[in-house]
Amino acid sequence: MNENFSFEQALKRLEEIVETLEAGNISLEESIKIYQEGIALSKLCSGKLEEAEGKVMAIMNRGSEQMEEFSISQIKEA
Amino acid sequence: MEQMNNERIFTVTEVNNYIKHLIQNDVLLSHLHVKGEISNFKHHSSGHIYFTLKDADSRIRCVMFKGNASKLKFMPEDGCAVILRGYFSIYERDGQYQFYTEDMIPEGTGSLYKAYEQLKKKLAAMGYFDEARKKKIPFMPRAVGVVTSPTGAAVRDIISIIRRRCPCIDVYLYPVQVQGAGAENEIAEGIRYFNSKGNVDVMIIGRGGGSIEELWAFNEEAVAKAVYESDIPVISAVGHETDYTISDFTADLRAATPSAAAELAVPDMQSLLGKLSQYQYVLNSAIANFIKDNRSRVERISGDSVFRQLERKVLNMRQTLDSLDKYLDYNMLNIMKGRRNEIDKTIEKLQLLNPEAAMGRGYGIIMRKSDGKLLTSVKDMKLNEELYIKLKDGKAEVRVKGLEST
Repeated sequence: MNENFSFEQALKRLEEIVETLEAGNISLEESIKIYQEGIALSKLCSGKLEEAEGKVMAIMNRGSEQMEEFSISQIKEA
Repeated sequence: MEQMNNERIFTVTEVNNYIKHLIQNDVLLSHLHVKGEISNFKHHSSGHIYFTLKDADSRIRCVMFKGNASKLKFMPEDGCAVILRGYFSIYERDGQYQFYTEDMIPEGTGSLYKAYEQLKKKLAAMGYFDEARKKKIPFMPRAVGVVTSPTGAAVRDIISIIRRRCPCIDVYLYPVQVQGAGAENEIAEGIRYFNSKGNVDVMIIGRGGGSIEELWAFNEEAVAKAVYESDIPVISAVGHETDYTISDFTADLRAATPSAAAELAVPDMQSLLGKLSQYQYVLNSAIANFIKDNRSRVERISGDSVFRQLERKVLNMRQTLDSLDKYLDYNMLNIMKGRRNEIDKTIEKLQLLNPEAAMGRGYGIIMRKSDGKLLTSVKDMKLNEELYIKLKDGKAEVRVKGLEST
């Protein structure tokens, strides 16, 4: 995930926008502006959730700290 | 009762009963702990346990009845060093005193408990468990670091729950031994590894259920220290709901089980997506209503007579705007419609400032004939220059005959 993107902050801002817009006591110009911001945030958030399949990696070699793909099917019963 | 030389003669049963009475009423013998090594261990089919407790020089016969024996968390065997709790009494049939065992713990465990309590006290004094220094678990980590055994149910539960809840999050496993000699150092190294890499936003350390000895690594100071010093928030999940380790107390968050830790570490993507699409819906319907309201307001104002007078000008402006429309998308058009009201008000104001309205009151406009420039100062005029004076019903051509500043 993008390091500069705070999902939590984006979601919080989006919630503010939804509230403001629902309350409705702002100018049309302002409401169009935050509406567009809201839609962009919501797309950004859902995009982040759906964009990429995360990896499961394991540090297999302590010495080299090399990572390898790790799958649940590799797990042996203890 | 018979008498012999005036002395009372007892039956065997009477003597045994008397001794039993003495023992059972003895403050010490009626409740005490005894340590020793188990031998001649027999688990009878009745469920009772019979054994001998011995040390280098002496032995005691012991029994543990089914009710107590069934509560034992481990299976004792010959050679086990144990601590027993119980009382002494007499088994009248054999005239044999024996120890009636109520509870039994392995002696090693006794010292483990002690070590646990001591370390807990020490670390509490050092501020390891202070709520104030506990870090917040991030809402949406980029990646989760997992320090646990690469085998068994715990790691599988953690990984599969993270994958199910939020597949976009990376999982890094630092495989360690979670029990046995040196396990605590491996766990501590894992915690330090993720801190040195800085590649995860939250860590889960832990293991599945086991005996207190098996969980012991998580009661070691080495693990507590690494957790305490970690800049990355740590969720500790050791054993079952009822197991509390030093690591749990030191961690930023304790999870009852490894599965619970995974759920605390990452949000549920499906419910987030549902929330987001609900927000989009609310946004869209709110803005649609907003535009609708504004449009009807504009239409209401359009009906006013003041507005009618200006309508022609507005239409002209609108024509200009319309010609730009092809560059504007639907949303922008709506903005324009909304702004019409504002524009109209501006035009109304402009109308009041229209200089032509002032001409009726005796004011005129002076322009230079050569370039039509509006003149407001005698400094702009030259002698003999030709000018126009514009009045409300026409204009006059004049020549400057003299200039004088006031």
